[in-house]
Amino acid sequence: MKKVNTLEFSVLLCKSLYILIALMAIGATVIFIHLQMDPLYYTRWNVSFLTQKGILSYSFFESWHTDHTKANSLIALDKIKVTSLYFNYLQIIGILTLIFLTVKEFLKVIESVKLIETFHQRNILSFQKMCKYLFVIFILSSITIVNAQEANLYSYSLRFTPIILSLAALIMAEIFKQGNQLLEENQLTI
Amino acid sequence: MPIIINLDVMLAKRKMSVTELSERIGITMANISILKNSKGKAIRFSTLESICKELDCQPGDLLEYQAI
Repeated sequence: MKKVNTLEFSVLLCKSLYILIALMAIGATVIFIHLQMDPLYYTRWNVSFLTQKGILSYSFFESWHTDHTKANSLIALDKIKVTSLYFNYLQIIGILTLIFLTVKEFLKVIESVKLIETFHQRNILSFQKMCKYLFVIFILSSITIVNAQEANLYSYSLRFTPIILSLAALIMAEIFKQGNQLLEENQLTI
Repeated sequence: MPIIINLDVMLAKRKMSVTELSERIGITMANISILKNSKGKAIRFSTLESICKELDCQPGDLLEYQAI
């Protein structure tokens, strides 16, 4: 009974994540469209694109060029050039789509565990897909290119969270592969 | 698998059908079929014992090793 409750909670969490991702994608799209229609509205919206320093991130290369000497590294949204805006929008949408697909695969695994089909072949494929998606998220999230009217930022910094999760998914795929072999052996023992 | 199960040979010798054997030893037809076609990965001693008892034979009469 406790196991079922835990699984139900996980399913609920995944579905909540779906909604959150959808809201974030809609929010990003609304800002992206509105920014091009009415740039003056975003004059006071200052965003920092610099890599946050932390244990799970490492900055390889960060180049910050500015025409004015600024104490902070904030860029007003309306000052970002159109090409850079498109690049950043597509990057955000790409990452959100991949997170959505990862959560979808995870939900499939949970649903199969609920049906007591834990070591089924499709769960191995799900974990392998999750590994690929998380690796692409790792690549996408490491690149930052922002061209604004007064400043340019080029950065390549590694965020380790997606790569750790990707490796965990790969290990889980291998564990499930072994589990699947044991299940087949058990089923074919007469 | 180089291990061949000569269940069909023994069944023919004893003039017994697969259905009859499955009913006597309490194993499904699907599992008997897996055994007969050498698709199985392992066989329990209890199953082997039941088959030997019903067919009045030795395990060696049922199992055969063929080098590939």
